[in-house]
This record gives sequence, C-alpha cells and structure tokens, in this order.
Amino acid sequence: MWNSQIIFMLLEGVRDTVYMTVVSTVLGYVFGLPMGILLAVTDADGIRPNAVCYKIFDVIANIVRSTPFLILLILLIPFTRALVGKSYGSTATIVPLVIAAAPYIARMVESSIKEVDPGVIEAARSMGADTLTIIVRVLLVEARTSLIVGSTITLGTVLGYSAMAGTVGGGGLGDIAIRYGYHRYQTDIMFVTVILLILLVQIFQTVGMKIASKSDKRK
Amino acid sequence: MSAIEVRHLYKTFKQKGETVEALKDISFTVEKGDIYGIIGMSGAGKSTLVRCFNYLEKPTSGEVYVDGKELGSLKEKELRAERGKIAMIFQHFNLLMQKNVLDNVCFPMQIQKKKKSEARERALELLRTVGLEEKAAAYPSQLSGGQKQRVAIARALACDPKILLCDEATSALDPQTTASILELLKDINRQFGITIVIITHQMSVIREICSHVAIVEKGCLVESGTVEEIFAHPKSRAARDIILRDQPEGGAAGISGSWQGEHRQKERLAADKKIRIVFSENSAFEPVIANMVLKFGTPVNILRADTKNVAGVAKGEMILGLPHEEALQIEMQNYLKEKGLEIEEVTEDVE
Repeated sequence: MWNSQIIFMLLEGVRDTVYMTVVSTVLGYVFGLPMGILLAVTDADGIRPNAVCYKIFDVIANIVRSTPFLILLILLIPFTRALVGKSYGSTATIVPLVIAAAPYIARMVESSIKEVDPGVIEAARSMGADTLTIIVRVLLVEARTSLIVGSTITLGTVLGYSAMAGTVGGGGLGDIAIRYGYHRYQTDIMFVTVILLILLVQIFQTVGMKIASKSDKRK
Repeated sequence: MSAIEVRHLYKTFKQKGETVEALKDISFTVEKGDIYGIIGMSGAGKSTLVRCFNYLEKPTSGEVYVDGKELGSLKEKELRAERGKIAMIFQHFNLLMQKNVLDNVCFPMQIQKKKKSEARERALELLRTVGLEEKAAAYPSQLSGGQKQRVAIARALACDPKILLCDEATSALDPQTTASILELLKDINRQFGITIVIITHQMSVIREICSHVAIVEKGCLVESGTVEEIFAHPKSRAARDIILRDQPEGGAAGISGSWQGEHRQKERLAADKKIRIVFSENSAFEPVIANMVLKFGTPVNILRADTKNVAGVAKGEMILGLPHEEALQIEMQNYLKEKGLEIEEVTEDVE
C-alpha cells in the first residue's frame, strides 16, 4: 500500500499543514500583535493606562480563549462560509485558526512586553518620547527575543489546532490521520502522519529558538 | 532666571486606599551652573522629588519652574519638548540592552527627530568626550558598570540639555568608578555649563562635587544651602546625622564593615556631654586642644576626629567628650570660642 499515491498525499498533507500553520500564525499576528500591545500599554501599570480599553480587549481575549477550539471551529462555520465560500479544506480552516490564534498571540505579546525593564521605559520618557515612539523603539525592540520565542510557541500551538481541524475536513496532516487512521483503521498511515507532525514541530522549534538566541544581545 | 525653581511641592500616592505623603511642601531653587546635591535616606522621597523636575511624576500640588517655564501649565506635547532639555541618568543606567552603544547614544536624537547622519556624528563625538569611542559597536551587556554609566552620560548629553538630573547615578558603582564618573560630571558642568542635580544617599558624593546641597527627610526638605555652610553649621538633626555618619572614604562597604565599631562609638557618644568642633583652614596652626588640656589640667576625650575635603577646602571636625564638671565645661567652651573655633553641642542626635 506504500505506493506513490499515498506518498504524494502525505507530502501534500505536509504542504497543507505548513501552509495553514504559517499563514494563520502570520495573520494571527496581524490582529494579535496590536491587541497584545494595546493590552500591555493600557493596563493599569502600562505606559498609557486606560481601564475601559483594557477591559474590552481583556474580555474578548478571555472569551475566545475559553472556547475549545473544536467548538469554535464549528461555531464559525457560517462565518467561514461567508468569507471563503466553503467550510472545508485548508484555506477555510485558516479562518477559525486566525480567530483562535489572535487572542493567544495577544496574551503572548502582552506578557513579553510586560517583561521590558521599566527603567528603560522611564529613560525614554525622560527624553520626551511619546507613546508610539516608546512602543516602536523601546518595547518592541527590547522585547524582541521574547516575542520571537512567543511566535515559536504559537507556531507549535497553531500546528496542533490545524491537525484538530482535520476532524471536520480541515485538510493537512490531521485530516489524513483521521480519515485513514481513524475511519479506515490504517494505523501505519496514522503513525507516519504523527511522526511528520512531530518533525514539523521540531523544525519550527529549533529554527525559532536559534533565531531568538541570535537576536538576543543581552549576552 | 534660575535653572529650577520649586514652590510648595506636594506629592501624595494612593496605594490600596492608603495615602502616602511622599513630598511635603518643598520649596527651593537651583541656580544655573550649580551642582546641586539632594541627599537623604532611602525612602525619604528624593527620587520622587527629582522626577517632579521633568514631570515624570506629576506633583499633587505646587509648581516646578524650569528655565522660567511652569511645567504644570504645559500641554503634553510641549512638556515632551521641554523634557528634551532636561536629561537624566539613572542608578541602573537604563540603556537599551538590544541596541549597541552608538544606537543608544543616537536614541534621544531619534526621538527629537534629528537626521540620522548628524545623530551618528554627534554620538561619536560624545563617545569621545566620555572616553568610549572604541566601544561604539559593543552592546551594553559587554560593558562594565562604569562604562555603561558613561554611555548613559553620553546619551544624556546628546540633545544639548540645560539640566542633567542624576538619580543615584553612582550608587551601583565601586568607589574608584564612582570617583571617575563624578570627575566626568564635574568636567561636563564646567565645559558645557550644564546645571547638574544629583540625588544620592552618599555624603561622599556631595562632598566630592556639589556646590549646594538640600537634605530631604521623610518627604520634607529640612535644610538647604551651600555645601560648605551645611558642613560647618548643620542646623537640623538630619543634617548632623548624615554628616556624623559620613565616612572619610564613603562607600557602603566601609559603613557596614565598621558597623560594630560605630555602634560602640555611639554608645560612648551617648554617655558624656559632647561638643562638635569645626576647624577652618586657619585654625590648624595652633594646637588648640592640647593647649586647652594643659591650661585646665583636665583631659578631654576625643571621640571622633576627621578631616574632610569639602568643596576643595580642608575642614577638620572633632567631637570632644568634656569632663562632667559643669563650670569646667563652660570654661572650656568659652576658651575654644575665644580661639576662633566653631563649636556646638552634640546632644539628642547621637543615637
């Protein structure tokens, strides 16, 4: 049964999984990064406290994060269909993945930014820096390493979510594992997909950590 | 026009329903070109005070005039522009750890929207001033504490400030490095005419470079004036405390090392009637104390003697324990006054 068709299918699965994971993470950052910055900046001990703004984003993040991904996936089917035209396949899976990843990323970004030494922020304020300058030139620069580590962790999480989307026809390796391994009892194919998933996570993790440590000038 | 004028400054913090008065009715003036020291124990409110000078802390009430402008009346944008003229250095240097030395010095110029090429040129020139031009490409983590503070000073000078605020700038440094940083600050004050305000808990720093000093205790300004004046005639208990505790070579190590000895000395100091004598430069020729002992035929106990270099003038300080007989005490004090010495009784302020 290890014919070229199956190998081709597995390779396609890898491609789809990487596509979903990377695109969802990138789009997740498009929403999650500003949201995380807003959370960190408007918090009571942030550089521009704003209780209302903080609470709004805090609640949004909590609501999305407390909904199990599989439920979110199903809940969002009408929305996904309206947006992409269909509710199955890897492109359609990106929609719920982004929505699930964004608040997760926001929390990662928030905690990274909160690690920045308040002394450096104070120094920038003493030079007359405004809020935007502090965000761009101090917070994001000083938190760089931690942000990269965060995005590495996010990639792994989103990869896991994308595999979960396989249960409802999401495409990618998770889809293959469920269709062949679960529905058709082809355990060997399931094993291979799991190994491929492990390998992907390993690669993301190793590369991400290398970049993070290379970017860190503190040592 | 004075560099900084502070009028009836109050600052209260609200923490968990509790109100803490950090600053209480503080008024004083820093003239242009001064090196003004503000000294006090930790928690006295001096860091809060210095942050009111650039409105990093907004006072609860009172006014802060910098170069004649009342900071409280400025709009957010004007205030930020004003901050460009008031540079600040910190105990923990507060450099951008992910940027190299050159970029760190360029940073304030970036904020003030200076051209990149101009900023780099000026930064290199400043690094030469602080003696670190060969470290331009290094990262802060590769530098020693003293070097980091030099970078911070170069960064502070980048936008041609009129005033430099130093918040415990030497407290994290060893005595030798402290001396070299203070020397650099002195040079900057002389060369560029920048008014310097120094917050410290080390009397040695005040003695070394300050022209004026203000003593802050529990949020109140207890005494202020020229360093010479305060050293010679400390009026307040806090000032006497600080001067008494002052070790010839400063340094926290010295203080903790001799704690036992100091403790014993304090016990002894508490026992008798004591007077504190300050010698000015012309009184050291005659052996006054020896003559007094010969004259009265009664020994006095020298509890503490010290010479200090105060603003370039040698000052002697001595604490004598006088004999118990009251008439003799008065006679001795009169004798010393006759000889032109400044004396005062040391009483409750010795714990």
